[in-house]
Amino acid sequence: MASLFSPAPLLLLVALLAPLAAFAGGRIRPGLAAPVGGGMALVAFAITIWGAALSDPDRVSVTWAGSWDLRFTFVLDGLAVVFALLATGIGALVTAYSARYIPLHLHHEHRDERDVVPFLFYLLLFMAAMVGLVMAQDTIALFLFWDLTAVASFFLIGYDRNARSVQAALTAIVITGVTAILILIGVIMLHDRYGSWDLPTIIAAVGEDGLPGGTITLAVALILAGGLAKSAQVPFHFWLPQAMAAPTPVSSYLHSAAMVAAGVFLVGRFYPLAEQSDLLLWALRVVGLASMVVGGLVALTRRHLKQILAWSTISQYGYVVLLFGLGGDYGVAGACFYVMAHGLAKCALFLTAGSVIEAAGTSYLDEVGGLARRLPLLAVASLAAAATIVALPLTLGFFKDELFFAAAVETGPFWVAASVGGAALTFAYIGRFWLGIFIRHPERGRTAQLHPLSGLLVWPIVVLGALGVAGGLFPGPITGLANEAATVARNATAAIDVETAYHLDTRPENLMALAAWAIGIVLIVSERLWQPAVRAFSRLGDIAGPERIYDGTLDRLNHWSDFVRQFEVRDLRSRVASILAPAGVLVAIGLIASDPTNNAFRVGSVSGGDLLPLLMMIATVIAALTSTLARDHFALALVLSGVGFSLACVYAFSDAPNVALVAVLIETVFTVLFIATLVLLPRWVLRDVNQEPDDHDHNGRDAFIGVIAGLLALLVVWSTLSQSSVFTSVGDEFVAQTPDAHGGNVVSVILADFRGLDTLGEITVIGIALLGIAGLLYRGRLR
Amino acid sequence: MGLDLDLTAPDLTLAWPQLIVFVMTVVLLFADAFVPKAQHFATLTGISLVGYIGAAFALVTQSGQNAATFDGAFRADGLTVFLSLIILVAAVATVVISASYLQNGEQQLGSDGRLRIANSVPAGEFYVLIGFSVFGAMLVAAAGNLIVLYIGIELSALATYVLTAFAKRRLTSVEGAMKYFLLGLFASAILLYGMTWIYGVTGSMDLDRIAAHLAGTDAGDGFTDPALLLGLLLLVVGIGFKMAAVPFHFWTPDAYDGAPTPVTAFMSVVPKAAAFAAAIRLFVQALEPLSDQWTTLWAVLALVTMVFGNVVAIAQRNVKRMLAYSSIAHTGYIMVGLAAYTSGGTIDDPSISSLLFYILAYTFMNIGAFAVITYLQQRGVGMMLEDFNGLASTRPLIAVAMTLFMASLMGVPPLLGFYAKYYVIVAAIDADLLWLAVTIVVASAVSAFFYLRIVAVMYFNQPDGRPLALPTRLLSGGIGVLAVATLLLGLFSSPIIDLADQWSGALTVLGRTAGQ
Repeated sequence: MASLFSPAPLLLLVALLAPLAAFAGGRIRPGLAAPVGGGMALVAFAITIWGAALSDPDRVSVTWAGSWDLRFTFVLDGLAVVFALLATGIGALVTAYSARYIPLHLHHEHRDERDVVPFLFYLLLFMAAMVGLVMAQDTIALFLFWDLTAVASFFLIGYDRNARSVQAALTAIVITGVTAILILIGVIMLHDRYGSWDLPTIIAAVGEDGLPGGTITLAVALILAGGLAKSAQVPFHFWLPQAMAAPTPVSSYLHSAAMVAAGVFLVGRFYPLAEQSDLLLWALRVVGLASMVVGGLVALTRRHLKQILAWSTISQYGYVVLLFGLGGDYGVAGACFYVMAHGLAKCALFLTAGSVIEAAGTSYLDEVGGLARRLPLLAVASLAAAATIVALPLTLGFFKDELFFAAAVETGPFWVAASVGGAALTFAYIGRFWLGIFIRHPERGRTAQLHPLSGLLVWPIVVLGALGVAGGLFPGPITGLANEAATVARNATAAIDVETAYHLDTRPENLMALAAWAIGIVLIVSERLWQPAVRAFSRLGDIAGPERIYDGTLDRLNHWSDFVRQFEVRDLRSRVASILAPAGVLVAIGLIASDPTNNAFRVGSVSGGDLLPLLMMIATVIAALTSTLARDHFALALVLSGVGFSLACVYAFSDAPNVALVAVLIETVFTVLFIATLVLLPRWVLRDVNQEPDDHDHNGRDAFIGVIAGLLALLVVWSTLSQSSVFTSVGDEFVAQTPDAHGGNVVSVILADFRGLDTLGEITVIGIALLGIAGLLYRGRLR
Repeated sequence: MGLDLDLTAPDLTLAWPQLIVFVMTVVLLFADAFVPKAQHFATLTGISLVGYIGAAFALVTQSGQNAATFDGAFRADGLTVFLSLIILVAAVATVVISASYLQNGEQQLGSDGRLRIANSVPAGEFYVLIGFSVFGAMLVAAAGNLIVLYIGIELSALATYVLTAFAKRRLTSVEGAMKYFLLGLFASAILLYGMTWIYGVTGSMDLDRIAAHLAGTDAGDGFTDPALLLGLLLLVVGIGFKMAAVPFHFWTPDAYDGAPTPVTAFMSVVPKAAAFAAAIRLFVQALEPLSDQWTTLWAVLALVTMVFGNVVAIAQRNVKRMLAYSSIAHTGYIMVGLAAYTSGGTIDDPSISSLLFYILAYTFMNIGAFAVITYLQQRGVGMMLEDFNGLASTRPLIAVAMTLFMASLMGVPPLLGFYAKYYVIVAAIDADLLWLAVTIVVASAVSAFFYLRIVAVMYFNQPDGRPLALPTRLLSGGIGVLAVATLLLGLFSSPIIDLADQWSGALTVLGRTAGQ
């Protein structure tokens, strides 16, 4: 990092400060937010131009997390310049437009005019995220800004706070958010292989000889998929038309110049990797072509002005993706050129739609018409923009199609046909849009009254339209930018130099353009003939398209969640079963896995001396079984104490008198406590519990689980006891040492000496328990 | 076998932090009885904070220590330090966010539209129980043998059972506590039973000696001893219950929903941290030679837990229940760290440190989320999704904090939760558990639904016009600190992860050296 006073750090700083400045300005006076924010965006734009004018790309690099090999490296290279210019320039214009549009919009929605401040904050936050994204060289930083764009767009799309826009915001963030995770996975896979988060390092490591193996191809494919989803490409495209629920400035910024452009930017950023794989290039072509066709066809059927533009955006970015797929110098430079030309023009058309909706009070194409005479300036400005998109000569758009055709010619005849078809579709839907608003008469008579439009709702469109025409007259600078961007995207050693100029000859590009216009005009004139077929196609998409699959998945997920929730266990018995059953399953699996046949189940011999413990064991079993049958709580308490006492006897017979003693003590305390609690409980509680109907449904299940659990425990204990013991008993040692402890009785020596401390602890515990019992008695209710 | 008891005096300096907490709790017990009413609340809060922070300082001085005392029953090593610090952070956070709750009690909106106190919580008992629970959890983290481990778990859990029932006039509170208590006892019995089997097979309560014994036999390879297997499985069930892993999670939603919200915040972290401490001590330290077996078990349970927790959370309209399922899901993520342990773990093995870091991250973001609910709930509204309507326009800063917590729980970079997930994913990939890593990612994507729903409700819905009082200074300060930590701690995660790594590095388990 040379110094702070160079384009890259300054641009980042200004862009990141812009939303904060707008917010701070808005806190003073809501009207101040737009001038401040727009001014900052303009400054950022100027800095970007400064950076573009430098011969070497400016860079800034800060260590972020050193031990983790993370750096913030930002480079204002050719690719970054193209997208940063779009983001800041159009950002400034849209901010200006919003300064007028959003207060009107808030007025219509009956909302506080101060709400304009958060709007501009998020809009400029989005700009900042874009600027950071395009300059980031570190894949993690890239991902971070990528997510920031998603967050900002979430709040922008949901800005209107009605059900539809909230739904749209959620859809957008789910689609772009989930696919962002694909990017993260891809990036982690790359890091796993090359040990670096730095993109240039990775690109250098991959080299020029194709992608090494399927894993890396998969990683790049995942990253590309994330980018394509953000660019609203088939089959992730459906979030974009929904996102039209946002206020128009949002649509014009996010959905023409910024958010969708971020997707193709990512494709450009990872293009040096993607280019190495024919498979990936083919995938890009297929996705691009599909988006171009689907978007174009559906755009022809839509009535809502913004919907037409949304679907046309899908189609237009299909071109860009297709251009990347076609590859070569023409393809990549064309893609970069295309993004700029389309961004300018589509933004203007969206703003036009917003102004028309504001003026005419309707947003349907067949309810407006013939506005050319009443809004001449708007009509001319948007005509320039429309001409740019349909690639008429003398506009910037002409060259975007020329490069497109050139790349198609380089690749093969099928792509020639496809590109002409795509261009014709563009001609048709944009023609339908502009003619429908400004020339044709409305099909349903409205638009008698026009609201006057303030200058801020027209001039940004004029600026954009004029830029389109100026670019058509002097394509040099834009071509230069595109060439530099392509040089970065192809990681080319020599600068790419694709020329744009008018040639009045019969070269294939010119013929293709003529053919496209001709077909386009035919399409516009013959609308009635093909409209039913296209409508049927569009409906097919509604019925079986990816949107349906997405909704269906969500529904199923919800249903499944509801279903599992109903399954939530509520009563206590089922809960105990819910622990026992999986535990039993685990033990059973363990038993099978541990090969129980390896140690035979031995049956020992029973001698006469075993009779008493055996009897006590039988008594224990009977008491335990009875406890499941007891209906009365006192009976239950007594039966349970029976279990304890008979077990204590078993201990006593198995040479463990001290354990037996403790068991008897504990058992006594417990029984007393149990019965004392029962006595203290209000009578009606016990009565109610006793009268509760028996839960016959679960009895069988509970018995089954109990028996299985018992059997499993038996098997394990049996097989363990069948093995020879690992240790000698501690008992012999005790007996041997008893004389040394000056005692005659083993039991008393164990209790008082060998385990004296234990005994002390036990007595303490029992003493405290007795104190508790005394408390119960003392409270007086136990009479 | 002779009685070779080491009767030298225990080195109490190693147990300073734990002793401070214990003494503090006893002091609290007396202060509760004798401090006059006017200074009662402030004194008790002060004592608690001083005690926990003092203990934390005492812990920091122990950093880098690797020693044992009380005849090996008590360990002061990297794991003790790190986990105890997490537990103390959670304790301080709980005290801070519960202060206003204790002062004002739980309020409910009456039919006349006015707030009235429905449940007042006795501050003294509350702090004492928190103190005991923290002490128990710290004992688990420092446990060197099975008995101390078990006593710690029980001490921590018993106090939590009582705390759950603290809003005793609200039926859900009592019901949740009862279910938690009975099932908890059941699980404890299973855990204890498992320990007796381990003791029976290996002949030692000491974790290191168990490891040494297992490494000495062929149990690690052939694994034909069903008794050992039974012990292992019972331990998995018992610990799984304590950490709320599916399918042993059934107590979680009711207990979380029913408990007073500060208690929910506490019990979503401290008993869970204790359970993971127990898991590390039991499985990584004592049963390390069986790691092939138990990593598989934990991997499967982690998968089920992540999927189940996230999917069921979607259906919840009650935010506390939703966060209960979310915390189940996070248990799953943490368990991945356990499952990613590779046999004979080298110093480079990132699994356990990723687990520890995750618990730390989870502490901040989860307590933060519950702190916001504490604020809302205390203002007389319930805990439903609708109660967050338009919070962004009425209380923008709290809405921003909640958004941060939700985004962090989701795992959005550059927040703390993202780093936590990242480390766990890297650990899973290192252990060749790519399917678990992918599951984490997919589960996080699913979790976006319910976390974002709260954000959407806060920002896009209209407030319903109920007046919201300002949060008390302590509460808003607490929320603020937690939010800033969630935002920034991730960026400075390297030193933290290094601290977490200390344990794996300093590990001198007998079993490991003997086994290699």
